[in-house]
Amino acid sequence: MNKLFHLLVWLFIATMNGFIVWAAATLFMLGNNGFAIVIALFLLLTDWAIFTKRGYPYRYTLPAMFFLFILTLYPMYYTVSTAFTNYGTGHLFSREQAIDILLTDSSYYYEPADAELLDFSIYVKYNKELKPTEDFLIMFEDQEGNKYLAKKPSVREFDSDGNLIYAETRMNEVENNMARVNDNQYELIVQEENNKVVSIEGNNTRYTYFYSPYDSSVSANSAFYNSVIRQNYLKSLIVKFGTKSYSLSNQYIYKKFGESYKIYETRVKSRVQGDRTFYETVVYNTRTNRELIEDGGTFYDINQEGDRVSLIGYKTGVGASNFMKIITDPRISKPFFQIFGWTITYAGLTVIFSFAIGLFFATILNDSNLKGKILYRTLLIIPWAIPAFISVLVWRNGFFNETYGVLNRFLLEGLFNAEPIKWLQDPFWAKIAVLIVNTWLGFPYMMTVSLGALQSIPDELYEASSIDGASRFRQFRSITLPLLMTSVAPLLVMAFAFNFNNFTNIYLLTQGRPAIPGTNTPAGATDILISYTYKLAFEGSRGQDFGFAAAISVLIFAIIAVLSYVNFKFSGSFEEVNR
Amino acid sequence: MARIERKNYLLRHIFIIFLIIIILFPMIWVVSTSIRRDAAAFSPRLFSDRVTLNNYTDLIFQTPTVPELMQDLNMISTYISDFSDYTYDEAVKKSKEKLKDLENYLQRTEENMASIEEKFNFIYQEYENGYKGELLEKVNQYVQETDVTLFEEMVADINTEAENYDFTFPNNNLESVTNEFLSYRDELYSQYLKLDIQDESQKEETIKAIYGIPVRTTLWNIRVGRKNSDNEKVQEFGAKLDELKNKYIALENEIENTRANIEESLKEDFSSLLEQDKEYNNRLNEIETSIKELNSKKQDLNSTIDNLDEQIQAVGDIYIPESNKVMASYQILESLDLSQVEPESPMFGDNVEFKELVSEYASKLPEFVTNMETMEKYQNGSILSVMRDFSKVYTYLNNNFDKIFALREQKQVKPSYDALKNLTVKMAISLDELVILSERYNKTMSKLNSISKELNSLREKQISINNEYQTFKNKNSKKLNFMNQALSYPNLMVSNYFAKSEINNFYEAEYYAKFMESDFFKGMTPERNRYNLLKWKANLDESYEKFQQGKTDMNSVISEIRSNIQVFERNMEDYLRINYGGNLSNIPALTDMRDVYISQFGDVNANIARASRVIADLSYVTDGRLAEVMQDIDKNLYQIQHSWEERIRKPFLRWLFNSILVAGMTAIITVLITSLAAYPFSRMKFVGRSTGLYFLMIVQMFPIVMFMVAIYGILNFLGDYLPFIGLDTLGGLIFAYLGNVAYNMWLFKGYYDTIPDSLEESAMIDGATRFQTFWLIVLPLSLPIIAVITILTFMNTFNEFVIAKIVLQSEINYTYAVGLQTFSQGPFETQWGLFTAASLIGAIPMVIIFLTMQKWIIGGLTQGSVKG
Repeated sequence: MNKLFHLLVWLFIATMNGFIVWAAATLFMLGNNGFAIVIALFLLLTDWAIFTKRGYPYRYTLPAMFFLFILTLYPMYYTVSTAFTNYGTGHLFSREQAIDILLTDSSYYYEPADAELLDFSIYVKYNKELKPTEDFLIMFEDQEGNKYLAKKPSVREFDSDGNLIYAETRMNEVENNMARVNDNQYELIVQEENNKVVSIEGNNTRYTYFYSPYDSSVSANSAFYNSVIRQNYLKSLIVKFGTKSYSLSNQYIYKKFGESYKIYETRVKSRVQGDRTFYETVVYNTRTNRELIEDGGTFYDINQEGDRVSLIGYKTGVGASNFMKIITDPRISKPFFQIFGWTITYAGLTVIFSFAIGLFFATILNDSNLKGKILYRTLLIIPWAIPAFISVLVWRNGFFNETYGVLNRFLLEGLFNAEPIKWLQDPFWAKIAVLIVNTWLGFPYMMTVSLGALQSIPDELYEASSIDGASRFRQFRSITLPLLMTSVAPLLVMAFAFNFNNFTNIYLLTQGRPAIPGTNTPAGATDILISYTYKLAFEGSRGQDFGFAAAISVLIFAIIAVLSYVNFKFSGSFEEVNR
Repeated sequence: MARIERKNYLLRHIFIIFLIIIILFPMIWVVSTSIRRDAAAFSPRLFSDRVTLNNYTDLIFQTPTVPELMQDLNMISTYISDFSDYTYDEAVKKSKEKLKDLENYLQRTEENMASIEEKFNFIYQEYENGYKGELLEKVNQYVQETDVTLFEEMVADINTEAENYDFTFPNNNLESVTNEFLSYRDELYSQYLKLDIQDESQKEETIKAIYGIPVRTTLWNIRVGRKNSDNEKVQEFGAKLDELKNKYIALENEIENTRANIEESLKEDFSSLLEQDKEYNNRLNEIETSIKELNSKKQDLNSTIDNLDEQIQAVGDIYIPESNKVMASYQILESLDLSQVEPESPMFGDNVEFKELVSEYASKLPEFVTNMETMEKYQNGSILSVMRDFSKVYTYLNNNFDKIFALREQKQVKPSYDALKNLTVKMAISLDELVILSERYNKTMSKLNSISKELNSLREKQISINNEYQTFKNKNSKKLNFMNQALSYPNLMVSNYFAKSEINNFYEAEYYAKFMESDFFKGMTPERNRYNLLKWKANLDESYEKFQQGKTDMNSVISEIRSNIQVFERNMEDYLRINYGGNLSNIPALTDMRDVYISQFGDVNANIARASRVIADLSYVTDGRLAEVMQDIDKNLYQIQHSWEERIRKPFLRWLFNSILVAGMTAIITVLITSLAAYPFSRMKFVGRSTGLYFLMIVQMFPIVMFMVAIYGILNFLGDYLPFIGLDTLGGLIFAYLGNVAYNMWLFKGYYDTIPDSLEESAMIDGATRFQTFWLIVLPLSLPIIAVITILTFMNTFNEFVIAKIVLQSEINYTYAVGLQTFSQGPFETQWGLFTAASLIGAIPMVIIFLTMQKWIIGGLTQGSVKG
């Protein structure tokens, strides 16, 4: 039994090793070196932990390590390395993928001026319940009335969203209503009266006439044709016949097939440098027979006017330019430093306000004679207990809304008869709104923390000082505050660091708006660095700019790292490790 | 001492409770709004007692309403959307269910309408049987309490004010005239009652003629046909109406006279003020008109300039493309040494033309260039630089034309010469325009400038006068204010007399309210609901009438839907068979049903909504049993509306489920991994232990949000190979959250440290392995911390927003946090009921968990792991 168990364990370890080696190798092939290295490192660590005695404690931590490696270490590496690339909209693919798209995507096909046109009709196999299936044949007919037959495409490629990007099939000529396709014999059944092909039989199956774009008698089937057959097969279909190839012609609003050919092809170019020869793949335009220009991670073609036309971009290193443009490009540096300043103001003021209010409540509640203080404390904690995203949405939707909001409608207009405030449209008031909400969310934490600290201050100190004739205020200033600060100060720094990255509140309340004018990035007046990063990466009106977003993330890393280091140093957390 | 302390505590309690109410107000608002039945975003009330739980049932059960049922039937019959995978039998079954639900709705609506009808009848009965008198008493009391006190205060105010200015209001007969009018009116009404007119529309008209202010009788005369009527009663009554009208005119005249008198005596006291005011107004008006004039002129000139601009651009388009060729040719010609060349003039043919053109160019281009240099817009443009070049070229050509002509056949010169000749001829079409255009441009520009200057000076003047006027107004604001008030003094007095006189019936009450709401006396603008009590009968009538209209329309809608249902039901099975398998035939019975709804329900809804709102407002000024019945009516009306309204549905329950699934899985996996990993840190000495702890401590400082680009990239990449942890999957989201494993390690380690080693040691002596001691001794002893961390992780994950927002893209996969955002946007922005209900469903469990876990959360936080 024990032996069997051991055998199983060994088997498992062997399989895991094999799998990870295979995965790392595959990742290398795909060009994802960082991931491969992280996985390989993990494997080494695992094997060391399993096969040596000294590694025994590590066996416990292996699952945790796995996630730490993939979801903490690798993201750090990923963020830093992305910061030096142009990764983003227009530069999403690797160079190989970009070339692949240039070669296969049907939008990079051209129709010659005298393109041959084919009408087509679809013949579908019905299932037992008389529902059309996805098994079908395509019959083509050229202008002279020659017929051709093609099976449904056998080669199909999809992108990551599941959209068809390439499909291919061959067609064969029909002679005497008989055709051979892939070793199968098909027979066309023709109706006598109108010479229509009503069905096709072959391969023990019967394909029934289903759809043809110019035939109104079958237009009831257009739904199935458009949503299934065209979407999954015909949209990017290339039909080959000898050296000719055909695709759905956009000149005939996709109701006919027209001759079309690839514009681009790859060639290998040799380049001599010193005494060695390098080979590189370049893309040629077959019509102009010119090599495409590659510049800054984009392929350019030259059009008839002699201008550069950008075709497709790919991801490539751009050095430190993402960091440099923060300093050199005024349209980026101005909003960036504005946002940077606001981030610090926002985090700082939030901490100050919520600490002041929290301390205020803590001093009131820190009185053993006060009845019901547990109830009060519980009630005051509620803003902290409610998930922040809910309260922020409530504030935004119910209170700060300019037209309907409670603040404008009932407090300002109703009670004070004042003009409504543009809470979320005016930069100043938007900032006030953000601070109000954040203070509201943050003070219960400060209150709890201060309450704990206050309770740990011994009463004797107060007694002694009051004997010496100290006033209440003097006691607060000279005893409470200094003693409180020693235990609360590190927490304030932590709270600062937390609010520095308090994305949810900003994003849900104002989405960083109102926008800062005169910039070409999606910067807003209430944006903090992290929400700016998010908008750059996922919401920019000019598309996504992961490279720049990552660069800002790296800056945030640095700031937080310094903050934490200082904090740990002074709070003595590092000593805790050695206990 | 002790007593003082106690008193302090009371104040402190009040203070704290007051602050807590302010702080928790958003939550109070959320709770009250989530159970409101009306549209809170549009209601003038902050809270409402028209409560319902419908917002919650809407979110959770999402019972389809009438239009949705019809939509579903349509979709089933064509096998689309959710129903695309249905077999024929399923479709039949489902259709039957939906039809049954639809029929239920129709029946319930009819029942509701019948019961509303009954309740209205009851109210009318009560009204006739005694409530009427009670109400009238209340009305009179109300008017005495509100309006009379208000007017008396106003009168007192204006009198003291007048005393301050040593102003006395001239004597007048307002009181007697008004009272005479009012008493005559009362008498007229009682006489009218004796006439006993049955015709409803005539009755309405007559009452309007009696009580309407100002008194108008023309319409009454026409309606009754007084001119041609032989009816003595009509003639007699008509004469009396005329008398009433005359009395009213007398009242108006008296008001006018008094006002004139007041104005006269005001003039004596305040004449200079009035004149100054008038003068300021005149001056401002003058400036205003001249500014307007100039502005229109400026606009004309601007459009001329735009026009010219376009033309100049067009000329530029002719020249600019040729400039390279011209310059190249010129450079060749310029480099020639012409000093030795014998000049030769062209005699005939196109060369002559060329020469003429060159000289023309040479004379016109420099002029054009100088003109252009003064145009601000073109000073740095490409047109000007090209034109400068051209002017240089043609001056040179003109000076040396004959010599160049002589050399034209030389190899070196020929291409340039020919090129220049061709180009010059080609461009010549635009030659004449050039100078004219530029001259006109400059002239227009100078005009425009002078006008702009004039405008600016006028504007400055306007501002300065305005400022002066403002200071004048501010200085004399009190006086001016008093003057205005004094001028409306007669109206105030008359309003006051109206308010003082007793109201005898509901027509009078209604018209009294209308009179007060009119702008007869501008000093008072009553808020919307001030006179609801007075208009009680009118409002009741309105509500009933609207309901009747809605009911009739609704009945026709219902009967049309019924007939369509019958048609559909009879042929349902055939219809469903026809469309089975990809065919798309519309079924007229179903589409008609929806068309009926779309085209007709809007009106029904408007009427019902109005009826509901009026009766609800009315119930606030009514008391006792009647108020209850009114609220019942409102409730019934609301039920009808609610079951017929079209709604936008969101998969709310699915979102909650997703959240619970993700948070639960994350919590369980995290605890499994972390509890295991923290063990060696607590019990064993090994290489890298302290490094590891440092590392964990530092990693805690970096929230997962900071890796968002990376997380997105990683999931995007992994998703291509392992679809279950790709973007837009819950698996991917759970995977991303597992990056949090580091955060709880310290908590576990701290707890393990408190469990004594001795237990494990003795077990190990008995032969247990290290892992067995962990699994069988340490872990069971750590159950409390395991429970705590599971719940905390669950909570934190449930509350997480950003990563979920990044990872999840399709609505069906949203978690609660991401989904809730959609309830605050777009069409939901003002549907506060749904939004607040959705918020509370998520918030309440979290608050309860938080409050019960308080000790642990606070403990964890003060230990140094701030995680939001």
